[in-house]
Order: sequence, then structure tokens, then C-alpha cells
Amino acid sequence: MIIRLSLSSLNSRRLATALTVLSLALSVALLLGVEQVRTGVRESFSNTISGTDLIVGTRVGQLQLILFTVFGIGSTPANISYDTLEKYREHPAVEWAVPFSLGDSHRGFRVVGTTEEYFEKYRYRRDRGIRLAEGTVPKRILDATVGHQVARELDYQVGQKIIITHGISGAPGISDHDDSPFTIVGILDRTATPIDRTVYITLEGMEAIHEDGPPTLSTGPPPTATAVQEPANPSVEDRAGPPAESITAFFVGVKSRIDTLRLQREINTDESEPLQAIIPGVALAELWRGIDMADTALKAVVALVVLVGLLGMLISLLSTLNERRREMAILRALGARPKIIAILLVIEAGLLSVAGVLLGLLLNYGLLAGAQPIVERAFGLALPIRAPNQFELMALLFVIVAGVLAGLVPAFRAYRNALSDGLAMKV
Amino acid sequence: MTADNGDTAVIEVRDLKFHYGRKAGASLVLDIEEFLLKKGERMFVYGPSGCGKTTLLGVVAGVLEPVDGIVRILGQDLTELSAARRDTFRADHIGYIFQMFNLLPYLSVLDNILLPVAMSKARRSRVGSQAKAAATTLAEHLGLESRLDALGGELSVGQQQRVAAARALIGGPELIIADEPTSALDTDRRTAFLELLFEECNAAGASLLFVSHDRTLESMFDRVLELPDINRVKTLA
Ligand SMILES: Nc1ncnc2c1ncn2[C@@H]1O[C@H](COP(=O)(O)OP(=O)(O)O)[C@@H](O)[C@H]1O
Ligand SMILES: [Mg+2]
Repeated sequence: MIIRLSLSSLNSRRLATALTVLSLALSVALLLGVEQVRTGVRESFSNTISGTDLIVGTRVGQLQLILFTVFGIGSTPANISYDTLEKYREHPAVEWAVPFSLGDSHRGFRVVGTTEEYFEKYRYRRDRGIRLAEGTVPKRILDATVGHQVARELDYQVGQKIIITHGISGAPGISDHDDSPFTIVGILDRTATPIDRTVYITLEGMEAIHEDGPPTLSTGPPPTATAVQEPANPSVEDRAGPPAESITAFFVGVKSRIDTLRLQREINTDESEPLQAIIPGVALAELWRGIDMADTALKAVVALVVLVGLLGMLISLLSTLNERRREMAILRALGARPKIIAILLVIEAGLLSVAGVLLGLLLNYGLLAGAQPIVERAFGLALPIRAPNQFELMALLFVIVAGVLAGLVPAFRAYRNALSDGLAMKV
Repeated sequence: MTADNGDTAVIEVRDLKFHYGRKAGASLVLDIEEFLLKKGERMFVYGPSGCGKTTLLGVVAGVLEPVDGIVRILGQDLTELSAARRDTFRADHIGYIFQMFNLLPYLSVLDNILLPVAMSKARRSRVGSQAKAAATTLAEHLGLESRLDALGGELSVGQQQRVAAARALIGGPELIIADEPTSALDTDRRTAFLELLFEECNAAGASLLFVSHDRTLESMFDRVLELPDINRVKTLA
């Protein structure tokens, strides 16, 4: 009965009701949207690397190590010796270890020297591996395999020849190794991680860039005139000795998770060379905490927007109160208790809040469904359509509770009016 | 409640003192030694604006609580009841008609008439399962049969007052209170409205307390009373 009265009364003030609900809905949709983007960013951020238990490099601090190995950001630190990698490969706790060398760039994209094993072992978004869209991973000294974005932006095809620049600068020419052009042998599938912006070559290839002149081979024929015009591209197996003198870092997978911490300590206290081993998850979490600060400000703004939506509802309810005094007197004359009249207004506020939240959800998921592919394409950010998380549910509940509480203000005024007005018709 | 014999007054007010607000020193609006309405009686109470007519009706209806005195309706002293019980008592036994704006503008005429049945168990049980039929019959008697589905806000003032009468009468309350229900009507419509109201009160066996500042209608009533005559508070500005 009371609910029917509330509904009819709200319905009779359709425009004001619709505007109130809409403003609440917009603030709710915004609240959800911000949280979805935030969790989406964090998710894709913390899932940039998975399946790797330790990253080992020189002692530059855990943030810097994760920044340049996983995100390709920051200056490359000093190398560690290749022998160290070899040593830990033989370590009983180590399942696999893949080298990772930085130091060169190609038209603004990072060049990473590594081995085939890297492509087998690297995981992102929990269990996704690197897949090839076309061709193969680099196998020979002058092979290059490029990330999705590299290929798209530079319009590269398999078979095309490219020049790798020594150093990270994007400007071509200064130290281009004109005499050792690499051949694109593969293009990677999109990962929506920094891998998309990376050019992969073999460790040997990287070593070759840094040597003077064309790659030297200890086996095979000496360079001839024809070989200079059409540089040889021997397989990495053709090269003698270790593939590189030194590397920037290496990734480690352990046989058993239990060994991770012990191995980390062992590497950190290695006396032969200053080394640092970091656990990617821990480093990512620390990095996220730094980034997350900015988002507190964003949250505060969204909280204000929600507050404004609720205030709008309160004002709308209060402003109708005077013209509804007549309605209240009629209900009083019919035997309605002052309490009922107060409850009527609380119910109205509750209905408005619930409607606002529901419409907000609808708006939010509608927009999300529409924006999802665009955001994914433009920013490489996956925004999964998922059920509201606990924080979002709490926030929605809070909006409803706050809405009902806001309804107490007009309700209390109506209650007092009902007691003091008697049956006089204040017009 | 006492027995429903002919001697029982529907309204019995004694030594009533009333003022608005809770402050003890506030000036009285009503100070009435005795005021009685017998069963089946139709009483006309008049007095100038501001003399306390609406206030008296509020006290009789149990909306306003007297400072002192006895307000017995159908034998039940309202001052002995809690506020909530007084509200229930009003819903069960009293039909109230305002001067104007009687209807909830967003409800249909039928729903407006049915409101008391929804609010009061006693009135619901008196109309039985035939609430809709009872409302329709009342509406027919009052010439409203074609407007049952119209919204309260869409009616003319005369129609609104007739809907208010139907609403006051449904479920057979013993006492109908009307606060200047005709003052918004044209002169020729007033008589017609009153005749209809009397007819329905008679049919339902309800007593009628009718107040107005306009004496043109007083000849139609059983008893006429000038409020300032019985009210010892003289507050006429
Ligand atoms: N809700 C109220 N609060 C305070 N004073 C009131 C209230 N209603 C009426 N009064 C005062 O009580 C007196 C009687 O008013 P009322 O009963 O409405 O007179 P009438 O109905 O005869 O015109 C007036 O002086 C009026 O100002
Ligand atoms: Mg009055």
C-alpha cells in the first residue's frame, strides 16, 4: 500500500524523478567505470609477466630491474657475465634459465637478445605464452622476430631487412650497422604487454652488432666479396664458444616453488659477482603501490560525484515537501500515523536510490560492452566484463544506504509537519 | 466502547482546553465547557475565520491532543489513547472532508475512494469483499460513475468534493466531519452537494459535524451552533 502510494507519487512527478534517478545513475556508472579501469590496469599490469620465479641481474634495485626487463623502461644497467647464467643453469633448484640482453634499439623499439627458450618459457596473463602470428622465432645470427606493434607501426613483413642501431636512441643513422642488416623471420601475436613493442634477436646476433665488422665465424669460409654484399646469416650453432660474453639479466624458473626464496638468497649473496634476484610478483606489487597513489585522488573525485548525486536527490525530495503538505494532511485525516508519512518519504528515497543504482549498472555495463573493443585496440588494455567485485558491491550498497539515510531528512521534517499542522490545509 | 443506544453521544467534549505547541504558557485557541453531538444528528457549526473551527475538528478527530479535558467519541475517550491508537480510531470511525484539495492527485478516483478501506481494517471488514462494488455504488449515487478512472487532479472542484464525500462514507464510519466542504463551490451547487451528503449519511446511519463561516446553509441542519458562543477564548482580530 505505502509502496504503491510512493510509486504513484513518484510517477506523478515523472520528470523530476527521472532527472534525480539519472543523475544518481550517472554517478554510479562513473564510480563503477573508474573501478573497472583501475582493476583492469592493475590486472594487465601484474599479469605482464607470470611463470617466471626469479629475474636475476646486477644490483640496481628491484624496481629498476623489473622496469627494464619487463617494461623496457629506464637505462640499461651493467651486464653480468654469461658464466653466471651457465652456473645457475646447473643449479639443482633451477628448472630453466633464459638470458636476456638489452642495449640496442630499432627505430625507437627495444631490441632484446635472447634464446629460443625465452619464447617457450615466458608467460603473461597467468598462463598465456608468446605465440607467433607468422614465421619463426630468431634462430640464426641475423634473424629478427618483431612484436605485434612493431610490425603494425612500421608495416613490416616477414622477409624484410632491417637495421639495428647500437644504443637506445631512436634517431637512425648515427651508429647504424649498415653492414649487418637483420632479416625479419617472424611476427609475434598480440600480447597487450611490452612484448608487442620489442624486436627479438639471438644473443649471438646482439654480440655481432657489438663486434667490429660483420659477424665472424670460427668455422665456415672467410668472408668473400659476395658475402659482403649479401651477408651470411649462419645458424647460431655454427658459432663457437659461448653465445655472448655477458648478458643484462636472466629469467629463472625453479623446479619447486619452495626453493624460490632460498635460491633468491643464494644468488643475492653470490660472491663471484654482485647479483640481485627479484621475485617478479613482489616487484610488480611494489611498483603498483607507487602508481596507485594517483588513483586515490581519482577515487576522491568519484566519491564527490556520488555525493553530489545523493545531494541532488535530497534537494529534490525536500523541495517537493512543501507542495506535498496537503497530501500529508489527507493521509493524516485518513488515519495514517506520522510515522507512516515519514516512512513514505524514506521509501521514496530508497526507491530512487535503488533505481539510480540499477540504471547506473545498466549504463555502466552498456558502455563497457561498447567501449571494451575500442579500449583494447587503442590502449592494449583488456577490460573484462565481470560481475561487480566486492568493493563495487560495497560502494553500490553504500549509495543505497546513503540514499535511504538522506531520505530521513525530509522524512523527519514531514513527521514534524504532520504533528504540528493538524488538519489545517496549508495552501 | 459503550453500548450503541440512542442516548450515547457520538461526540462528547467536556472542559476542553487546547493550544498549539508544547509550551505551557501558549495562549489557548479553544476553551469549551461542553460540546455534544447526538447519534444521527446533523450539526452546523459556524463562526468567523480563525475562531478555531478547524482546530476543534482536529481535536475531535484525534489529530490534535488537548491540553486538558475529555474528548469522548462513540464513548471512547481519545485522551486515554496513545497517538497511534488515536490514528487507528480515526481511520476506523471517522470520515473527514476538507475544504478543498481532498484528493491525492496521482491516484484515480476509484483508488482515492478506496483509500480508507486500505488504511482501516474495521472499514475493510465492513465493506467485506465488495469494496470495489461499494465504491462504485457510492460514486453512482454521487454522480461520479463516468469519472472512476480519471485521476484525482483531473476533476472539477465540485467533482472532487463529491469524491471526498464518497471516500469519507465508504466502510460506514459513524461520524462524518466536514470542514467547509462547500466553500469552494458555486451557490447552487452547494445545496445539491449537501443534499447528496445528507442522503448518504442517512443511508449509512452516520452523524454529521459540518463547519462553515457561511450561514446560508444552516437551515438544512438539525442543529446550529455558533462556535464563539461556546468557546470562552475570544481571539478575534
Ligand atoms: N498548525 C497551527 N499551528 C499554530 N497555530 C495554528 C495552527 N492552525 C491554526 N492555528 C491558529 O489557531 C487559530 C484557529 O485556527 P483555525 O482552527 O484554523 O480557525 P478556523 O478554522 O475557524 O478558520 C488561529 O488563530 C490560527 O492562527
Ligand atoms: Mg478552518
